[in-house]
Amino acid sequence: MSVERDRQEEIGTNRISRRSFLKISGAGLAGATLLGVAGCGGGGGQQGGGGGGGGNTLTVGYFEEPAILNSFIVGGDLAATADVTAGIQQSPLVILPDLTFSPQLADGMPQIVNESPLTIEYKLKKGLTWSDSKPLTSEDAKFTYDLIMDPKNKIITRTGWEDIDTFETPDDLTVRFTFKKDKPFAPWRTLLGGAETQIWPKHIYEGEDFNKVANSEVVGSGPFKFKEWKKGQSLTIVRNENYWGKKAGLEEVVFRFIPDTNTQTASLQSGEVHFINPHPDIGLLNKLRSFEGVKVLVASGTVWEHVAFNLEAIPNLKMRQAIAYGLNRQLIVDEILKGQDATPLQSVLVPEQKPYYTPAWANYTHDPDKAKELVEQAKSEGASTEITFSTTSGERLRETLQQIAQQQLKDVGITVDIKNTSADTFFGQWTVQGKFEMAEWAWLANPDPTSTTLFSANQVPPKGQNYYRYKNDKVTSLWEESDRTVDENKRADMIRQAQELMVEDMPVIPVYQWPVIYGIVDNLSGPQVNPSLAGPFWNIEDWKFT
Amino acid sequence: MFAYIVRRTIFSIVVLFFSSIVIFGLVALGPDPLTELKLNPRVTQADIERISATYGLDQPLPVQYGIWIRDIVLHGDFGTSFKQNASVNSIIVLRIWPTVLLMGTSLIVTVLIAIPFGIYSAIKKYSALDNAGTFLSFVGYSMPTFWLGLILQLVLGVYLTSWAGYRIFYISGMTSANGGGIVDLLQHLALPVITLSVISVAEFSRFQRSSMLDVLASDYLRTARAKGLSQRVVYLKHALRNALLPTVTLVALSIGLIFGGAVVTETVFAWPGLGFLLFDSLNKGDFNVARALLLIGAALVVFCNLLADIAYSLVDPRVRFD
Repeated sequence: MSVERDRQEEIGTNRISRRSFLKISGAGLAGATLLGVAGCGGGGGQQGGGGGGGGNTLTVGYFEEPAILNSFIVGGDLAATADVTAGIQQSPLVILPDLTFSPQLADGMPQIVNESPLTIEYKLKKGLTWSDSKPLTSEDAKFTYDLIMDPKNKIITRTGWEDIDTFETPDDLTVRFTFKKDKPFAPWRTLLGGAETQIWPKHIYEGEDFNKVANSEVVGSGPFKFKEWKKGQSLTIVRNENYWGKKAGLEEVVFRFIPDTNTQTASLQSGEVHFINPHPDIGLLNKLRSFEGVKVLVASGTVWEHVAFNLEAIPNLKMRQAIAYGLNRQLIVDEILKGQDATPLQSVLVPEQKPYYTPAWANYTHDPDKAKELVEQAKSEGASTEITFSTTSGERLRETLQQIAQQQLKDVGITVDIKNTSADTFFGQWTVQGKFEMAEWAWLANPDPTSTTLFSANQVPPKGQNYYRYKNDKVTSLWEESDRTVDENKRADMIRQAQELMVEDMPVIPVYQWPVIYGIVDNLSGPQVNPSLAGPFWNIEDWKFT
Repeated sequence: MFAYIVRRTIFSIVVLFFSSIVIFGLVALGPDPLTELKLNPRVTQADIERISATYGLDQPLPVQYGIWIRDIVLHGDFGTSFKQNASVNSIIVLRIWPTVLLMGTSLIVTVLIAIPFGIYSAIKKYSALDNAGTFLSFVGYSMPTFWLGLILQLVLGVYLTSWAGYRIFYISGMTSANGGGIVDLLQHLALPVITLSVISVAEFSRFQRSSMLDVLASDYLRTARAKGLSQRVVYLKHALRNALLPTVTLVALSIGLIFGGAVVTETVFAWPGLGFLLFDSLNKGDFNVARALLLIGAALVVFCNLLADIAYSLVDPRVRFD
């Protein structure tokens, strides 16, 4: 009954994707000089605006090129695919910046029409059309379901979909699906909104090879249409004049592929691009703010960073608690998220995951005296005060945290030895095989709070992602049961209770949420930070130059 | 002579064969292309097995290597891209022109600056300009490309644009979004070419200088002067032609490297060439693309070395054939 399902995806999977954590040294080298370069000046004024294209064309400096435009199949699991197609393809639901779902193609929110077996029904809006003016109907939704279930297609995963027993379309606008009796899928909304939930046009793709059709162009129902993809350089989308909703404010959007963060910021500063969504770095925020003609949006993201314990390597609870008291998380956050005014994260969910989040770790504020006392007790119980601390090398935010932690823990009598490796080895071997004592990495939180695969006793690798080797039967059953509980209030109670129990065992210490940073030219209006999988372009139809 | 060429060719093929094993092995030992999928909690073990079978990743490495090298040798087919779902050949073809344009231009610029400057430095040895050249060469040669690239972006891309009030240099890409035209292309080409040229000018001009100095010290030049030839004729007609030989070799060898692209420079300037593609494919775990690029690069280096060897044997009688 693994409802491993959804959506507490590890970083390196989606959105922030490889760039951040699996990056190779080339980019790392460039990153190392960022401060040096910033020191050279920073304030050069250049009115943004005109540069990139002409008139009503928006140029985006985007960090990576998509491999293909089909987000359902292998190769389409990059953030780039989701982001460049966000204006083209649409889903029944869309994820809003506050992590709630809202109707996009659906007419109002989907309804649970039956609890056992779980049956979901939604209606499509009236008058929906594809970009070629043909109507978008429930037939297309059924076609999409069939695409996902067709074994010939190189679908990345069918989680959730494969638990559906019947998928019906009673009329042109109504879609109804029923899960197998023993498999109620509580995170069912994630099948309707977010990544890999777009509806595909039957009249265009029927009978075609789904593994090939959307490799280099794609048709959708959104406010923009695909125009052109210059490989290695840029991808252009153009306003869909037949759009069923309010027409987009921009005529064209050009995504220019610029992998290097410094080049991105310089391009924004010189007005060559109008919008960037750079990888966070220490000092980046203040650097962007110093640019003339540029405004900066920043928000706490859904990628949450934490200090993790391998409970088999550090079995002593007092030692783990000592570390929790010994770390001054506020100071760490102030240093790493300079200019953002953030507070430490207090649980294994993010506060935006309402009503599931509870600040369970809030009592663990910096208390060196208590920490020293706990270290002494742990020592008398035979615990070692020498601990190795591992993470992915070349990521400055992480290495900074390690150094601060090393100093702070030294003050309470714990010797921290830093031992890092490449992200591939770290995630591919060390975490999976439990080759670490204390470590640091991030998870990606989604609107749905399920974390069963991370914290259940039976989810130790290779089965799940419980790299902590954390085994608490009560916590396990709470997470598992919450996945089967469709009633939101009951589910929230269980999940909050699981968090409260977890803090007592201290398998992790949450530290901060990665910031999402947008640098925008002054005369562009519309962007609104969306830290979820929906990405920066979730509302691109509302963007316009003023 | 013929036997020499045959022997060299066979030797080159052997070298290439071993390089192919090393390249295949290194990429296989590198990042696991499935890591990302394995980390995705929604992807089940069965999904991983299905996907890895689709791409032959479930086979033992020697079998994978055999299939890979067979397709290359027999069909010139580098396989299918793991991420882009298209043939590697078609992906690479698109990137050749930008790289040739960038590297070719920078090579021409380098030659046009470095050779005259090297000659001048040799003739006016220890003059102020020569000393300055020596100093600047050291600076240029030890400058990391990515750093120089960033500085040029800031100074010539951002500050100059802001000071002049209009754009002279673009910072990234090969063309403007809707632009085309030769001027637009040159505006994009300038900064990466300068970045690459600074380093190779430093290298080439020092090389030219020392080979010119060698020649200037030789006996036949003294004879030429003694005959009463003008300085101009001595330098340009007698000295230069011999002093150019080593440089020509260097240029010939660099042509092989042209097709390899410049990974760092292309990435910093988002130039859509082969180097950028290599960076991108390594980043995305697109193993077949990475292998193809590395193998092509190795093949070109081997081939150009072979050409240089043969050319040398033709030109220089002192090279023995046995």
